[in-house]
Amino acid sequence: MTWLGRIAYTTLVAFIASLLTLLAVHTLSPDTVAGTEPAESGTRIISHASLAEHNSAQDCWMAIHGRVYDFTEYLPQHPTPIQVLLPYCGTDATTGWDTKGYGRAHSPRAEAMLPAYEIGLLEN
Amino acid sequence: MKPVRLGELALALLILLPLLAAGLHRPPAEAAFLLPWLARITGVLALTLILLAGILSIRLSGLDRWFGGLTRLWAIHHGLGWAGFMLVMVHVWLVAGSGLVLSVDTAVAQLFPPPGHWPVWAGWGGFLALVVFLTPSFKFFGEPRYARWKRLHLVSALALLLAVVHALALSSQAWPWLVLGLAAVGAFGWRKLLSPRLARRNYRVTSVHPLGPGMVELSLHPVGVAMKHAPGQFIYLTPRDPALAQGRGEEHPYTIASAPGAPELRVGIKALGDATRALQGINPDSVVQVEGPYGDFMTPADPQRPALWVGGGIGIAPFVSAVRHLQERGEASPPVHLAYLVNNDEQAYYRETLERLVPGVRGLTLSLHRRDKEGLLDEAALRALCPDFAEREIWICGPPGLTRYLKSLLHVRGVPGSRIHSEAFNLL
Repeated sequence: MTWLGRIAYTTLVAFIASLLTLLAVHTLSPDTVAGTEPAESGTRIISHASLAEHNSAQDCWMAIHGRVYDFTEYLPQHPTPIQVLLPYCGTDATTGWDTKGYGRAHSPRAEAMLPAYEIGLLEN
Repeated sequence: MKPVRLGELALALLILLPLLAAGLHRPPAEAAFLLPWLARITGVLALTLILLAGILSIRLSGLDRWFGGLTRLWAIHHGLGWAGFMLVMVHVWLVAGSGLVLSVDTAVAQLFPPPGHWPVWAGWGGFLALVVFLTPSFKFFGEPRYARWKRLHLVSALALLLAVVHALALSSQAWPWLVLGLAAVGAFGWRKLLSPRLARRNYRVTSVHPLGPGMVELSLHPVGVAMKHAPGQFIYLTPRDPALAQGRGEEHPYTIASAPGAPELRVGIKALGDATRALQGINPDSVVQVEGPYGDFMTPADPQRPALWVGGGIGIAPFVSAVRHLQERGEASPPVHLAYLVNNDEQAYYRETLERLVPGVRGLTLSLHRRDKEGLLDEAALRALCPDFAEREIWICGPPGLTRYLKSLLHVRGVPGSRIHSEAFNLL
């Protein structure tokens, strides 16, 4: 094997090992699953005014289909650049959620991630 | 160091193109966005490098000289593929890392989403295909067999396709991927479908001349228009002789040993594997197909400087072509010394040819170094053959071990890399 080949092979082994480790941690620690459950679901009613206050990258809430989510921590992970998302902070972003701005709904995977960020219900 | 060539410059600009198009050259304003930004950058770069490696596999006669010859182009192709493969793994690590900042579950959900989220799974499919076809290229499990390696390399098309699907679904700008993707498809189509029909010329074998045990020189006469070549270039040869035991219809690279413009194309073929062994008995009058020429080996950096040519074993072939070329002119200017390094007399296949031709060329001298009699070629021996070797522009062609050894010897003597040309026999 050439030295380039050796580096590639070693990295590939480390790569597979790291993914297996990640999956093992995920499977073996049920505690972390708690993170995907609604944080304070159902209990807290959030007013439109209070939603509107959380309208920055440092503090970003959004309402989707009547539920309010705190996306502050998630924003950096979102595939779309932050500039596109910022206007939705502090607002009812249901349309944005349903259309992504060009008529395509978010994926089931994205939907599965929602409960982790839920903080309450939007008042009528 | 070799000078930067036009092709390499164009390549460097192309590498940056998708990155700039996606606006990823600007780092994010906040530290929290750093990991996702790096994840995207590595993903974009990885795919760009792998697509460019695919595009560079086009093997177009003439284009390779933009990169300093096909051997060097293959080295670039290999390097791009390697760097792309490494970056894909870094990309996945960074995607996982940007999820891990939140929780292990987010990381796992980012990497392994539900089956319906096909863009991510297309990416994984591409990676798997990449591992399959790169395993023999990086020699993970030893030296691959040529034919098997070539077949497995076809999986690269699948890897590229899945990777482009992954990128198109997830990136903000589609056009760089469409442009590079189509160029790669074009390169692939040319190599696999068009070039075997359009780029190959038919030649007829007129003689099979034995040069020693396990070594013949084939003389080939063009059926149609003859190919034009320079000394030191090589061809891909595909034998069509139905009686061949091995390697019929299989292409292999061979250095041209005849002079440019000679009525017959000559290639020396040493029995190194199954296909080359079978070729020793190829039927005269059978048809072979020739594709090329490729390579840019003999172009001097300083045309005024005296030259030293070192041919090791079958690596003498490009210099045989050059000597035959000089013989037609009768003079080598600036002067040239040719050192022919062989293991023993029996393997000095081109000795007779060279000893006959060299005296007829003013300014050209020849020396023979036999390892079994004179030992390894050390500095003193080299100085005895060619006293002013350190002042000359030097060409080396031979097995990789010999090339490495001679280069380090010359380096110690202060010969700059720009004055050393080498061509090694590797898998092509």
